[in-house]
Amino acid sequence: MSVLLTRDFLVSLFAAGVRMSIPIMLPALGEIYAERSGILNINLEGQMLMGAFASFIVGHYSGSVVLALLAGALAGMLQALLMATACIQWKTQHVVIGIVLNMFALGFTSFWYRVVFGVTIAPPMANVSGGVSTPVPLLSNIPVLGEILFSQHFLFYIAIALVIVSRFVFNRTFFGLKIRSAGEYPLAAETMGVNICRTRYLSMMICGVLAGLGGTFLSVLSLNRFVDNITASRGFIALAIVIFGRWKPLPVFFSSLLFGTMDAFQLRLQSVGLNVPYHLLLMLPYLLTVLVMIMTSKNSKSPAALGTNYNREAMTDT
Amino acid sequence: MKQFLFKKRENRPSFLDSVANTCLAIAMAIIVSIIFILSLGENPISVFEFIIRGAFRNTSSVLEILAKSTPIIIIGLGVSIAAATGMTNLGGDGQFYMGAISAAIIGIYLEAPVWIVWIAAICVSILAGGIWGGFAGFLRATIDTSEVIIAIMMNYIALFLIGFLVSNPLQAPGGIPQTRAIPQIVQLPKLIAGSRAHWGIVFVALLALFVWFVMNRTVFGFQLLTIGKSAKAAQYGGIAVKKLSVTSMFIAGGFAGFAGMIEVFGTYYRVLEGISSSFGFTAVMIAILARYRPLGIIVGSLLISTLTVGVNSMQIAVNVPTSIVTVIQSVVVFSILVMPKIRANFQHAQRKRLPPDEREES
Amino acid sequence: MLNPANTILEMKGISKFFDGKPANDQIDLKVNEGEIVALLGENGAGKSTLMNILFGLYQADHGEISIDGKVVSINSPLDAIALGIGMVHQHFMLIPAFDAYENIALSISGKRNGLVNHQVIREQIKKHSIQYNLSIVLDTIVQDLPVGLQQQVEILKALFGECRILVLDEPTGVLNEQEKIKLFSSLKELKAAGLSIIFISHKLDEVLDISDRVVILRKGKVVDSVTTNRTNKEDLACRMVGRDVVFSVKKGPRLFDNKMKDRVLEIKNIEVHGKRNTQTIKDLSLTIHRGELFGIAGVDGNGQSELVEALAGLRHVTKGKIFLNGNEITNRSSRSIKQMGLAFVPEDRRSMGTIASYSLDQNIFFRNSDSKTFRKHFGQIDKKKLHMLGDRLIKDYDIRIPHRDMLVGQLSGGNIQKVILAREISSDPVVLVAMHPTRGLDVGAIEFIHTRLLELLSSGAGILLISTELDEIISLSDQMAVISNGKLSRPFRPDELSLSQIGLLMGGSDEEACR
Repeated sequence: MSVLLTRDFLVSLFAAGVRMSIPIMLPALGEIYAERSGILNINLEGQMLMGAFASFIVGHYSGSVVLALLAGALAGMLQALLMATACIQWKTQHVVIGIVLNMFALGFTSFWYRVVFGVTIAPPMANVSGGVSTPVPLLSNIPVLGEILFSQHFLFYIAIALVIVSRFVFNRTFFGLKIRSAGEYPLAAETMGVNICRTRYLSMMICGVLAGLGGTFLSVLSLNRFVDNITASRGFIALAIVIFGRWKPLPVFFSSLLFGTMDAFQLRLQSVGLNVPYHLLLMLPYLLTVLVMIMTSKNSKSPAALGTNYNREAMTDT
Repeated sequence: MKQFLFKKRENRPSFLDSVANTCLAIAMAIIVSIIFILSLGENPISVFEFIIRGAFRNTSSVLEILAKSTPIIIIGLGVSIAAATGMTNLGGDGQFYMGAISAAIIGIYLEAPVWIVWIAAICVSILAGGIWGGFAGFLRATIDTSEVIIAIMMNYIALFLIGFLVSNPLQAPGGIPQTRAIPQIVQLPKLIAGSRAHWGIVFVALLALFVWFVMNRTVFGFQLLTIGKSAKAAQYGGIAVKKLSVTSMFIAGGFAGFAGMIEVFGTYYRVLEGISSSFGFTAVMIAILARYRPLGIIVGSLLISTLTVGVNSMQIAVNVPTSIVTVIQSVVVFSILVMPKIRANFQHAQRKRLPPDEREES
Repeated sequence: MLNPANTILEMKGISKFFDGKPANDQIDLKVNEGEIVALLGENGAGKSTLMNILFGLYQADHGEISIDGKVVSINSPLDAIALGIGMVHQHFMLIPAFDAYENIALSISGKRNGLVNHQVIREQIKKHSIQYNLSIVLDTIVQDLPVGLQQQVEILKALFGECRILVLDEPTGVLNEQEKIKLFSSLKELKAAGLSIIFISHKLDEVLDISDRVVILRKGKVVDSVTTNRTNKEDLACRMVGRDVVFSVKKGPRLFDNKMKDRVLEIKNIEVHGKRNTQTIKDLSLTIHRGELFGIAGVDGNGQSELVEALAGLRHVTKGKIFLNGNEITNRSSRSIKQMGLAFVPEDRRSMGTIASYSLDQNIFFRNSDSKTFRKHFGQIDKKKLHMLGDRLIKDYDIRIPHRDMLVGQLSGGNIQKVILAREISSDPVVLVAMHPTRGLDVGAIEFIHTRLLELLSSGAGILLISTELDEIISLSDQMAVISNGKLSRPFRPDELSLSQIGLLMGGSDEEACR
């Protein structure tokens, strides 16, 4: 056990935890926008998958990190727009349509991956030079903390910035007020001049971009390749984290770190060679999600109109 | 007419309307797949021909279709029962695994007459799957957590639990992560020797009939459906809303567990990792497609299985990835869900243009 | 005064149809600058529909709206706000989870998406609230504010949009007397500042008190427009109702005299919590005897829903006891309470009392699904028996249903209510709890339902009738009480107190004040 308590082990564990939290942190942050505006975006997983795939293709052929990130964001956004249209325009049930679109994303990416690359023995690489860490000057020299937080992948810094920006958006801007009102009481919001459709579309687009970036991190930046169902339900874990974080950016940020660390811990234990069956370790993040949902849902205050479609004409009641 | 009184489950459009919707949805799927196939540089007509020929090339391929649809139908029937109370059982895979492993344990270790082994395996698998599904339903009913997310997490937990069991305590000698095979005597007999289809398909037909009976004829089914229509009204009506909601998820899980038992006793004779190829998700898709009606679930499962078998055999001849089945499936279901709303929007917009006097008639 | 030069708003030939039925039928309305126009009419006369059209929530099927003489098109509230129309809705259009400040900030967001300048907005709110004498509590979540203060937020919110025409939809319904006085003084203040006000109400005194001109609506049509100081209460009442007697059914002589002291329902000091702790029933007691109709009057939202839900086993009772026919039913399941003989006509007849997508038989059955009567072997439903019962109820209760398989959601409100009443009475109840059984129905249906209730009384059952229609309560009850703020007044005979005394009780004054 002593090997677990060395400084090096702990530092590398937490550093890896931070890194592994990125692909759930970004989508979870995006989901806050979607859910606060009233859309229960179960399709998060599909948006990540589309982002992971598109960025991989673009990264593979262009070799550019920037282009890959853009492609990932765009693909995630397009998938989110499809979901948004189904919910807002066609007023389908959010959960059901989300599941169907997840399936679509899974089939779509798997199909085109095989079309583009065929079945190969050596899987193709993305080969963009973006997978490495970017230490922040000065800050990364702080012992322990610098190694954990400031020698990270640049997407982590972007995520931190996004958390701060999101907090600001929700609390201090008209746009944030509109998003929240659309998810609380859309009819009242509309009488106050909020365009519910537009607000929900925009929120979904933001969500799609962030989910796409999360997917990009998985395929291009972290694994350097694409495999079927690469997201492995991280989108659903992100959904749980949003509940755990009570729909607020900062708590969601910290819960993502918690989950990432849990994931890293499981990997580390395997590599240390402790005699714990690795299947049971793999189970940990999912078990934690279930526990967290049991613990938080009782006092969670979800947006009042979450998952409901808004229909102005249907408000007559006689 | 009296007989049909309770058949009307919802304020659904007329029969003709739903036929039109289905046709439109299938047309959408065909258009999408033609686009996909064309972009591969293949000829869509010949690909479709390959698929159909491949699926019906001989008896064994037809029996393969039956074998493939067996677990999907069973899980789908369960999904339809959960859906009656408004629950979405996306945990079919996990429940299937739990049913499969517990049935396998009975099959391997219980030394008793065949009938007793079968009955014990059925009971245990239903219980195991039921607990797995009922748990998600219980959390939804009591503390209002999303049963969808819980069920998906439970899928992974079951997956890794099985992974652990088949590579550690229950591993058969030989190093492959799988359990020992169940004795030949308790295996379900094949429909035709040498094929993959077994007598489990007969169970399926009976089960579908049973589900239809329960949902359309009995008080229990009526109560479940009432909860799904309006939990508030059901509670006012004196129906035990929470208890029955959990029960419906337990039954859905039990069905999936039973499907696991059928697969173990009829097809694989053992449990290994990857024994379920997302049956649970497919079953939900098909159940939505069938609007939760038993006959529709059977037809839908057979269609999807035909497609899968056809594409599998075609892949050898033409280079079209099997995941096209997933795409087609999701496009069909998506269109089915969206089409009535689009048509309603369209009709609404048209009606708005009519002067009020004419509108009164419509 | 009717100088066309200062006409600010003109609505011409407005028609709006719902499911083919006219809610507004060729309505003309003119409003001048600095004028308070009252729209007077009964429930369902089309007042709210007209104003929702003006505010862009509905689109008129016919007719045009002009402001300052220019024809405008109002497609959404956003358009209305831009044209200077502000509305105080009957059900407040505030975000309950926001505080007052956030609500007001949201209302001025319009096309802006950028930074909220807290200080500027707070300053403006202060300025406005002083100018119009409004009391605003800024930093409390709106759902925790008393309704009177919520309404002040709602008014301020409307004024913030630089509005020139302020519409108030039944603003006094939820207010107590003091809050009402406060509101009226604010309105006079606003009028003096040059605003035009449209005041929707069905209360004659208020209309006479506040308005310059009264426009009377009946069944979707304008029937009259009179200058307020040239009319009086009786005159207005006659025009509004269009008939002399509102309630023709009166209770007959008591069939069960005082010797029959059987208590069928006894509520002893119960306490019930509402949703989000909105309205709590505090220490409420009442007793109903055999053959007695007990009426509870009161303004909506004063704990009526919580009380009946607690009785029906749908809401938890935290303190006290309820007895039905001598047996305790406190916190028992709705099923066993029903089986013990408590029938219940809920207020929400379309989504709770019936299931819209079920047939008549199914709607009868879902409230009896545990009864052995309709069960055959293997748990099958005995559809034949059910069908026979359905036939009988259709005949007995004159339910107009075009064909037997029709979904109940397609029936008219009156027929839906008959279905519910038929089902509940057919279970031979000991006590019937009926909440707003006649709300929104036409005269014929109301009369029918009243007759049925009185018939049930003569068979020995007790009835608890809850209604906001004071006339209804007074004409039917043996004993009545007024509920206000979750508290029930002492029971009294309908002729014991005067209308104004009862009105005071409804407004939250305590009993001493009425003496």
